Amino acid sequence: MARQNFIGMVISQGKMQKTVKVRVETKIFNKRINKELIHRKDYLVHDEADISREGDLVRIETTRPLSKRKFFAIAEILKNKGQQFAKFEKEAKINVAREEASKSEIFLERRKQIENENLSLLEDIRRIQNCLNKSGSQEELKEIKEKYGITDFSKDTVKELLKLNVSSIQEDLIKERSAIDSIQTKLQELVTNDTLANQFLTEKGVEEPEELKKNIKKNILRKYLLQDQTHKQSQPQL
Amino acid sequence: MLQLSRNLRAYSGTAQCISSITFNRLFSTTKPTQGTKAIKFLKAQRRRQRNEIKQTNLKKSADMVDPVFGHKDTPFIVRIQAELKEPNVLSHGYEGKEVDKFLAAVDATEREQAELSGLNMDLFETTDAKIVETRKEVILRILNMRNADNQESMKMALRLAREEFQRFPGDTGSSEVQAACMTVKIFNMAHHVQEHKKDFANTRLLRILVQKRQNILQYLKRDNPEKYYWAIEKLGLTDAAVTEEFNLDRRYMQDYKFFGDKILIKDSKKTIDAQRRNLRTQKMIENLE
Repeated sequence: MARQNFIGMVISQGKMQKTVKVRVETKIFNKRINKELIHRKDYLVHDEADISREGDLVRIETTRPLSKRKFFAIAEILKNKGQQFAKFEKEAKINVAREEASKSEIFLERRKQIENENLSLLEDIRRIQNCLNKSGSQEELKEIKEKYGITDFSKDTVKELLKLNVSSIQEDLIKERSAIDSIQTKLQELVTNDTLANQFLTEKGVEEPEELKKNIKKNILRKYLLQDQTHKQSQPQL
Repeated sequence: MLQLSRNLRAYSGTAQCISSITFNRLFSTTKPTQGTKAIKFLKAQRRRQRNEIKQTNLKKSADMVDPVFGHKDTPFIVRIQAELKEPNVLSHGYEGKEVDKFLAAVDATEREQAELSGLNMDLFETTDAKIVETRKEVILRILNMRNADNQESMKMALRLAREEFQRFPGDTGSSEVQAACMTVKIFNMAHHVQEHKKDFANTRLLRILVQKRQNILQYLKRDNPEKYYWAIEKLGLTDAAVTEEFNLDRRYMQDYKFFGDKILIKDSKKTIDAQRRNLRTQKMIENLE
């Protein structure tokens, strides 16, 4: 005769040796209210190798009575979600401890570095200006060149050295804005001039641009214009 | 029979030898603790008491983590708080190096203008190093994070938290970043509430925030369990602190000493008696063992 079989969730583990608690849910039709209700029953189940963890979905099978309340054993683990969670938790503890140790080390190192750091930017700039004006000693300049990683000196290098974060951000913003504006004007040009637009699209490999709807054509044009822009920007850096 | 037993007890000294011969079981009663049944009962009672104490201690044990503050001295939070108190941290997003740049720029422009005006450059005097030093000190003092308001320091703390939890540079919306930011806010708000314990509006907001963090972490557990366990470990929380029902009420505040040892809920006589009884039995068992 086939053995009795249930599928259930492990809800308690690690409190008894080689035993877990498994919750089996069944639907039972209640005649009085004409509705199916969930019926739960918890079994103590034998787990010989102590593998399963809380949250696993398991199939359990009857065995000979193993103790007063235990007459089921785990037949197979269908979903090992609980085991995975346990593994992740264990790994996270080690990883986070390691990470935190390294981060706090970096923090302390930076603190030391700031203490030792002796910024003599003011003096350096004075020296540069002296050299530029009166053709001072070239050895001093060499030192400064090495310090800041500059190859050639001009009046602009001083400005470059003294540029504040805010002003550099502002310049970037202006650049971005002008780029957007230029794209907008180009797009407007192409939208108004249909032949030019078709030519542009065929160059980019679009088949039969004449049959495209107006709005879709505009979107495609914008896409290729943007691509051109980013391509231009990335080239000088390379 | 009663008469006999009385007599026997009265003359127990003389009658002892006779009784041992004549009766196997005397009329004299044995002590209640010596019976096998009684011993069994006592053992069972001891076992039960031991279990009851174990169960009550389990609830109080160290692995019950505060769902608001998490573990004590979580390295991540300690580090962020230390980061804010560093001596040369500036508010409004300025860096220490920028002050140097600014002072140098002032100096350089002074010189340039002197050159342009056609003065004799031999007569031009650079500003004294001492003066520059005091200028720098003044600027640093004005911009220092210690002199900034709470809003500024919160901004910086949130930035640090975001940068540590982000999946890619510029990530502001992933669940772990949200949870980290909420944690920073929770610490700020909880300290405020601890100082102003009548601020019920903010207490309510704090409650909402803690439960929001729970919700987002519960979602993360479903979405990406590996990241979830990493995030809660980093924030000093546990799975139970996230998944179990939590309400920031007086019961919580009393249990986790939110306002110190202040008593916020008066227990009924019944529960106080039960606690006292538990303590007594615990002491008794400790003495026996």
